[in-house]
Amino acid sequence: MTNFKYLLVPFALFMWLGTVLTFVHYSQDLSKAVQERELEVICNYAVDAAVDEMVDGSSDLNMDYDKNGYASVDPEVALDMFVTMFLKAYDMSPSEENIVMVRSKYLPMFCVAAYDGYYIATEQNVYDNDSYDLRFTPKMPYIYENNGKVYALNLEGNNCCMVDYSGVTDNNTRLPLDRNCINPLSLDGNLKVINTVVSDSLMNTAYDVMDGNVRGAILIPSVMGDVYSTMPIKGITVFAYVANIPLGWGGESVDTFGIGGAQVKQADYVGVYTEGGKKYYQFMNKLVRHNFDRSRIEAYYDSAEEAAKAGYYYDFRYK
Amino acid sequence: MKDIVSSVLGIFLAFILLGVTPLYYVGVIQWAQAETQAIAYTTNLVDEVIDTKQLNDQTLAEYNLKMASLSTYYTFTIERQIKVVNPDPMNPGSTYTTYIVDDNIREYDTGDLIVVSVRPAGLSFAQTIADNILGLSVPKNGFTLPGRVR
Repeated sequence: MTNFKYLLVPFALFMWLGTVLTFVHYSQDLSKAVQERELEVICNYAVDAAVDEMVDGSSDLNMDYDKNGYASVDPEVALDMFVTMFLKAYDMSPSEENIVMVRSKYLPMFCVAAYDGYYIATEQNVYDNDSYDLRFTPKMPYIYENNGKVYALNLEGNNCCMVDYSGVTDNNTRLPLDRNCINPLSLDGNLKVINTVVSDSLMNTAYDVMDGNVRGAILIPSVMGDVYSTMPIKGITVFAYVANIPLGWGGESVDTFGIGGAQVKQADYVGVYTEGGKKYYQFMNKLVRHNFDRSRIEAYYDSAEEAAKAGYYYDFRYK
Repeated sequence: MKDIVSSVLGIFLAFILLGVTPLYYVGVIQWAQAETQAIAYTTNLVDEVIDTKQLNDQTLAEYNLKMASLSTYYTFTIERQIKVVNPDPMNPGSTYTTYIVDDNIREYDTGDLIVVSVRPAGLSFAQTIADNILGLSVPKNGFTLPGRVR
């Protein structure tokens, strides 16, 4: 009986140690899963904020009734807003150093799909030493090739750009360019081609950037369905690929992919005025709400940035 | 004498094995559940503010009640931040951007940020015992969700 007791004690201790170690491993996975969920939510909010900020801030709306998706957008605005929101979520101030840190370490790819083309930012060696920063490509068109003709599609699906390769020979190398070609595709087919082009391009870029260490494929479906909970590209869209976030316990890293879209609304103008020798600006909808005398407004600007560049300060009294 | 030592050791081992370690397991699983649910509740709150541009009493009361029902005790702060762009006095022609915190968290405008930061205020019963006796603790960092009002 005593022998049995002496055998039982080490056995029980080993069992205990075994369960504790197993559970520690399990809880690491659990913690990683929870923090991955957090990162996903944060990334989604940041992408939404980025696309809204970009669309709200696009000054040249140049809209017509048949072109309600059209807007010229600045991808740098979206990138700045994304990084700012990301820093706020991790309780860091959006200072110059922190912004550069996020841009160079945790954001290997960032993409903006605009009306008639898309931009992809990847990390490039721009400072002549070993430091990297995100740089956008020039706007790349949504290419569709058929019968020796190359079309540059747009999100609305009506008039597109076309280059005809079919008549090109050794003697005749002139490429006829048609800027108002009728889109050969239906509206659905148009969106399918655009989604495929962007999806393939993102996957190729992610593969290059991550040296092949991509967990799974990036697929943007052309319709929202039951299987995929991803939104298709139907308007101006922003994608962010966040990676290498050290959130796990043992130095493991977490990556996620965020996608967000926005509809173009009407722009909010900024009115400027002088009061007591000081120059102020404020958004028009706020001034109207405070029954501001419109005759005192000296000029209108498209965005707060432009008013501030002209030397006007934000007016806290009408916030 | 030897008998007393071995029985004390046995009782101690039984206490750790059967009493405290399961409490640690319970504590970690409680933490994961509470954190996941807290993220979901906070996402609901932020989404509602983003879409409706206001935070009414009913939403806030509901959020308080939901957060209080979790097994971990959470405190949270809600901030409204307004984006301000001003001319840079040092470099004429260029601008700088700051976010100022506003007192009024009930009404929002397009472009404002709502920042909800949720922090655990303490440990639950199971987590306290496991933490004090075995030194096994759960993550205590909480999370912050910022959203931009459309």
